Amino acid sequence: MNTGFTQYLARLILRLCQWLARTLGESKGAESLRGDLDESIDRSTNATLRASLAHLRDTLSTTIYWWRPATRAARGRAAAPIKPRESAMYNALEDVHSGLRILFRRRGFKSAVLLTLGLGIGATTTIFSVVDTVLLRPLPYAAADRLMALGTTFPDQPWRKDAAGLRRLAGVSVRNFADWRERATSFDHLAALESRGALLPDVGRGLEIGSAASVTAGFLELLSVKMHLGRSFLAEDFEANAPPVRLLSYSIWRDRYGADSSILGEPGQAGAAEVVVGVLAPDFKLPEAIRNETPDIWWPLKEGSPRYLNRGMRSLFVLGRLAPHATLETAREEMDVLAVELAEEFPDGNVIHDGRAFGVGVNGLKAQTIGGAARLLGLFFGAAGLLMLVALLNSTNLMLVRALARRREFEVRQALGAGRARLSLLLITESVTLALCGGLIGVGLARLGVGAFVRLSPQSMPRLAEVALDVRVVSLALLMSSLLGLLVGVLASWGLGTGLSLEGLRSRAQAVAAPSQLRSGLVVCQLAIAVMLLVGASLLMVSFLNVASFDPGFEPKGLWTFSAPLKSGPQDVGNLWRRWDAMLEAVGSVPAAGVTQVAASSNLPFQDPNWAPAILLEGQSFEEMTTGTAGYVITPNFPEVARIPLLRGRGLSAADSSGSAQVALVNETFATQHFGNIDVVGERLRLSRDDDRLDTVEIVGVLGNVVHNRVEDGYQPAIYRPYTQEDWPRAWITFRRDEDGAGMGMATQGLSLSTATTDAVREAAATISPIAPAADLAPLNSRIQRTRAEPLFRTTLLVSFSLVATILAVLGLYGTLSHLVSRRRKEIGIRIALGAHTRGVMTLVASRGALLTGAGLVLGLLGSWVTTRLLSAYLFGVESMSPEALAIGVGALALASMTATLLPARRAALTDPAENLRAE
Amino acid sequence: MANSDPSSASTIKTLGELEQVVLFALLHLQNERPDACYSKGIRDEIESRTGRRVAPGALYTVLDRLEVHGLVASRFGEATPQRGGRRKKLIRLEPSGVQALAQAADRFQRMSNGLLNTLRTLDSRLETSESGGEAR
Repeated sequence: MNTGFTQYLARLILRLCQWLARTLGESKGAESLRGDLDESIDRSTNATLRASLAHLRDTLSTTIYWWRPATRAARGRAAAPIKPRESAMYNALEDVHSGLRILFRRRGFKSAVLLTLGLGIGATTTIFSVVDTVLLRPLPYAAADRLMALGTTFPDQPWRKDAAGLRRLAGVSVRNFADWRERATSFDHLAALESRGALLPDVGRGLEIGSAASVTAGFLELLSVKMHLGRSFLAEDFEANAPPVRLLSYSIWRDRYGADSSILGEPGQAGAAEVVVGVLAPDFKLPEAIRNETPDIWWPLKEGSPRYLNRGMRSLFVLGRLAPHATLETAREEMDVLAVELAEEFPDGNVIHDGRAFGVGVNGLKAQTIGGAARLLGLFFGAAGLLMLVALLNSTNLMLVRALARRREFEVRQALGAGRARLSLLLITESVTLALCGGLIGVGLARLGVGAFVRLSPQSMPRLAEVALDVRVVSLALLMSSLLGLLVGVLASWGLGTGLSLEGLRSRAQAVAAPSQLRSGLVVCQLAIAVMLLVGASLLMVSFLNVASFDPGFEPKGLWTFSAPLKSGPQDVGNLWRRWDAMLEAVGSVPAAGVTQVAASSNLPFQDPNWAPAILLEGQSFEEMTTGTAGYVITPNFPEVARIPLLRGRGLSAADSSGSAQVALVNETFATQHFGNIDVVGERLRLSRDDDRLDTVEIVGVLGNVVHNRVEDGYQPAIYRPYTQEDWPRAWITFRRDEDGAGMGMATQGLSLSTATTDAVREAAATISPIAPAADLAPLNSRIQRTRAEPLFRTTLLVSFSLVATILAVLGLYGTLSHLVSRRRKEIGIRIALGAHTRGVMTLVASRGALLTGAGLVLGLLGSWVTTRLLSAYLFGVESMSPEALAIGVGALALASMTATLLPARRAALTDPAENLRAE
Repeated sequence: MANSDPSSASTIKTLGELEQVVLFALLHLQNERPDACYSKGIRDEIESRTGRRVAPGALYTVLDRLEVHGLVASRFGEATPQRGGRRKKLIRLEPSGVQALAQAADRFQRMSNGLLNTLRTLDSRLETSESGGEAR
């Protein structure tokens, strides 16, 4: 185990010691004892685990001494009757002490219990720690629960699914935002942010774009931003003719400006185009619902600027704080009404062609941040809980075996006058001590687990940066462990109690039946839960394999992509295709890159569609208009380079120029969805856009289906337009590399390009688009991997949970059967002596194993019927009770159980009757 | 739990093994490091001489008993920062304690007279044949 973990445990134990020492009080008698303890503490910062355990023993010994009746008498309290509370304290301490002593002595058995409990508690604590941070804790802003996210809602956007209760928010125009701020009474504060890009100061790496934001007055205050240096924006900074100012994020101030505080200035200084007036505090983070990274450069948004006059330009993200009297519901109602008002007053940009108005959506900022993660985390938590349950049952079983082994000791104690209560107390304190130690191990595992969770978790998981194991969760985990210990102890002493009697001293054969039934029950439950987890895990596994093997509709191998902003100014409008051409030529002529083909498109497969034209077929009215079609602007060779098959008609060609007839390609799904078959060449349709343009285009060809966003969404309808007929300011450049040729060697087969090649491509791209050229150059395959990160993660997590649960459950089965064999050794010996066959003896044990396994399987499958329903949202291409997944789950458990059964059965069959009888 | 009757003070008949060890440790300390004549110092002394780590509770119990019987006396010493500003309880051997220890040592010596060499030989032989399992 790593040293960080043991040190953490050691510190935790020392803290427990301090707490114990405090129970001694501050009396004169206790003074020297506490002094001794203080003196013997190892004060070095890296106390070892061994030293801290030794100190715990010293502390316990001292405390027990202090509370024992003789000492109390010497303290002059003999006259006062001992209060039950005090004697209980003493008993408990003594039991803990003897528990610890046993712990040190019987390491093998105890470490099994500790490891079992540790695994269960570790898994649960890890997930709970994430759940606590992501779902339960408020966002790190003042009055965070009243912060709301506001946005424009579209009449329908069927290609995007959303978490329940949330409205899908799009950007807001500045004019609309100003009207909301003026009229809405549900919010006592509304502010907005517009994401921008900004050139960063050059530090020798060439021109780079950083993230920037313009914010309206009060935005930073709404998020309770503190300044590291200088001042925040003032009201006058937002005036139209105010001198330009900017704020910097702490990280960019440190990295690009060398943390130089002299860069601060005041507006109006001679020569400075834009003056830095402040640096934000290092711990400030923009809500993830707005943007994943915190902008580096901040400007005041000047609402009067002419570029903001258009209500169709929805570029703002709006934040609001609910007024004291308002709730989310009243705010939604008010904003719905406001949306209608604004649509009537300013139809331009607020109403689509068919007369339907854009709405206003209000979501809680926290809910907006969490999104669909709540459900996924719930799933993880459920799985961890089941694992915990298996661990609990397993350790109860172990405790029971242990208690049975000590039956003689208990019986002697009982004969000497210890009551049932005292014996139960002994068992319970022992199990609580064990569980607490298991809890400590679990906390240690959770520390590793949380780290691993954060590292492996897909980017889509919100608030990951905040996730850490904190004191609250640790204390809750320890509290839970002691409660679990209590439960285990009560169960074990209940199971044992039925078999304890004075008779037991004389005849040992009796009284084992009751605990044995309890133990069988425990094993069956464990097996059942393991089956549930296994079935769930195999469902996710099958589903993931379906996703991974789903035909993307093109050939991603060997394809490399990067994005290029191609619009440099208003002079380009209508002529952007020329810049596309120039870029293709530049990249295609890179000598070293082994580039065989270059194409360009407005978007790539496996990315969110960034253009979704509404479609009207000929003869359809606006009411019948369909949305949900992904739009692509492509160069004619794009299908060929990506190897998307042409099913009907012709592809696009150089002849489809800006002046010629408007044409389009559609995919198979589009054709079958709208026309029922794919013979649609020659059909005409109209594309509508926000800016009221309606273009009639003719379908000239049909392409094969391609995955647009995620495989899970299946094939969606798509339309492809030539780049010469659709002005698009940003192109994704795709090039196919010759995998064998050009002396590239082995390395280029995979996911890497040599630095020289990368630089050559960048240089070429820089001649056309000089700002941050080809910064996101990556193989298309890696983009595909990214969309699989989340399913892969949840599959991995559930598979590992289910494997651990299975191992524990099968170990439980093995333990029960072994116990059975050793208990019936004499009987088996006699059977063999009387001529029983090996097979007969094995059957004796194996049938018991098969019975337990069978019962576990049946119960588990019943349970799966419920639990797999919860998984259905995460399944692709597989039913929630699919036979193949059930077969994998059942098969895996049956196989493991068989091994666990055969080992003890074989041992029984090999019993030597002579030796056995002699031993009696 | 039989508590020693206060009325029987100074009539102690025999010293237990741990009591003897503690008294010996005190004797060593009084001669060599008088400032370490308190519980922690005694524990360390026993550990450094015999390798045995006495549980603090056991030591306190022994000291209480010795004090009740008048074999040792205690008073509060000075406080040090390592002790969290808490005072030590300094232990002093009383004449009766010296007497009792001398008697015990004498008894021990007389009983073991002429046997120590034999004992060592037996012990070394036992060591080589012992398996180390839990005897039952």
